[in-house]
Amino acid sequence: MSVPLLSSRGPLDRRHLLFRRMPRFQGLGGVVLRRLVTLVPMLLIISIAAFSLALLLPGDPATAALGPNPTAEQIAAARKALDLDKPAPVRYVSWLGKAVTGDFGVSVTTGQPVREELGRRFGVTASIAGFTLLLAAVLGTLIGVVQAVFANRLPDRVLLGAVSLGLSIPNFWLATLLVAFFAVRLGWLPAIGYVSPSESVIEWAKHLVLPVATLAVFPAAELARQIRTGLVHVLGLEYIRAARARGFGPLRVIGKHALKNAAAPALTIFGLRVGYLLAGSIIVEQIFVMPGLGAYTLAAITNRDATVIQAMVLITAVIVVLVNLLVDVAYMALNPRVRVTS
Amino acid sequence: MSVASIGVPAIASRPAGSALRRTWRRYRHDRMAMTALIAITMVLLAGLLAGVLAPYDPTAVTPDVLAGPSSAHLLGSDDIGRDLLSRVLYGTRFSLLASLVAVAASTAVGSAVGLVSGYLGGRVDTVLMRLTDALLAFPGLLVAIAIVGILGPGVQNAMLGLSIAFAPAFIRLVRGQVLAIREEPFIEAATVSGVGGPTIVRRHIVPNIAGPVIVQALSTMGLALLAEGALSFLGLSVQPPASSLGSLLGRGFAVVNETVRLILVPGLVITICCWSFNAIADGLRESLLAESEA
Repeated sequence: MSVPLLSSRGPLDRRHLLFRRMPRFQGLGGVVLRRLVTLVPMLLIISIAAFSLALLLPGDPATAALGPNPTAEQIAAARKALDLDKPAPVRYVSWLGKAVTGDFGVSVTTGQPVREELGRRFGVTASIAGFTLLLAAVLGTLIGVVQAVFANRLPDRVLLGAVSLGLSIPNFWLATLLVAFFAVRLGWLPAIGYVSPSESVIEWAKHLVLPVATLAVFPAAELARQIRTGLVHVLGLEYIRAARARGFGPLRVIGKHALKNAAAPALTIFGLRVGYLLAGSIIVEQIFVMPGLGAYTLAAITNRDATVIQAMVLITAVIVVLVNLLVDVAYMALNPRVRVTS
Repeated sequence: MSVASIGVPAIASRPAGSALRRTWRRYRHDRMAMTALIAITMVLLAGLLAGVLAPYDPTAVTPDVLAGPSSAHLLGSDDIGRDLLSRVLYGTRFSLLASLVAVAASTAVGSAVGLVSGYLGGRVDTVLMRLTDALLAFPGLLVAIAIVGILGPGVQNAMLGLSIAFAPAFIRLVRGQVLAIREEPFIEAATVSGVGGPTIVRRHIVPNIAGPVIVQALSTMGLALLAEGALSFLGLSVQPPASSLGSLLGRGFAVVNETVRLILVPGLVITICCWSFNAIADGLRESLLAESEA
């Protein structure tokens, strides 16, 4: 086509200008640095959103903290103590300033500093989330590899059914079924509670089995699907045939050559699941009565505890953003081709 | 090639009915997707006809407390003697309706914002995308739970929360599609022929992005059923005496020591619905992909 119609319009066409203006940082470190810079405005929007949530709460936090029939002086004193006499933007700045140092204020309902509460509960949710990711990674990869190796044959079909079931089953249903079967019927595992590993490692592990199994099903199924698709594609490529022709066994071909290339897209999907874990912990900690961050969030929401809601929303979003950054970096480390274009 | 010879866009001149029919023909041969379509049709009908099919009033208390399945109660009764089949039928109607409203709202709003953002570009696009990215940083269910927490438990707030949680995915999808399509020659041709912006969006962009949006809406239905179920389960959505599948499950879990029947049935219905929507979305995606490659 001879006439370049409209090609000067639109954001896509201005990209070359953007890149020319940006200083060129080379390599992985430069990419991370650039990403970190673009994160700043996003984190600011997130913090404003988290802070504003509490402004939408009906009722006055000052009267909420005082109990029934407070006097006007008490209300005024409480408002002053909570800084409510100042305008919202001023409060936002001081809130953010403290939040950056880890000071999220004091819970309106319990009177406890949010930070202490977070420290006490972090281990519970971290145990659940950590083992869930581990189990999902192992299980998802295994299923995906088996599916790809037996592509379109019986094992693949059976596992495909299992995977699509895993993507459809509600985690709260799965949790209740596991409790009904393994805790109530068989009595093998505890139905509720949490024991810290410093008290008893065995009890700690026992209390984690059902919550972890519950949460791992969805990400494992998702990962299996990704790995299968990626691996089936990679296994059809020339270099795999070359590796086979050189006499490498199937384990080495898949493990060393194919999986590395198939894993990269799977990693991205997996990174997105951190948000799922944090939301899923709300449900799992409710069903299994565990004193973690999810239970803390749910309690804050039912009690309309503004300070805690603000803190939890902010922390969750920051974790998700940082994990996404980490995943992108890992993706680039695995796949150098992306570095050039990003 | 001269500008004038591009003329009427090739895509618009293809009869719409035949593309639809070809897609349907491909879809029909996908056994899994057809099974799902039949399954969801049956569940939808059961929900719609709950008033006719249910043997009892879903809130009517009978003397048969925790009765097993019998000819009087096909699925048995719950812990205060209400007929489980009737409760599940009404619960199914409620869950499907709530999810449908949430998905319809997020599809409409998300697509509109995505269209504007992608078509206008420039500063509007930058601002909208920054906000969307920020919203995407919050896990969907957490957004919904936080909104419900602030506005108070209830179905309307739950649906609002879910719509806001699901909208960013549609914004991103539609914007991406629009960006890709606006570079196509037929859009340029329409522009130089003097067709106005709104007409281009309506006549040339919307029909070309409808497929992916419908697929996304269907798979979001699966997610919405899970999320609405979770909210109901936590007591943040539907309030008694009305009930959805999630709240039935939550109530049934309270008597899990007595029987698993009360959690088995509602959970199974949610799983069937969710699986069906996922399978239909997958089947349709494949069929549309084949159509665009043909």
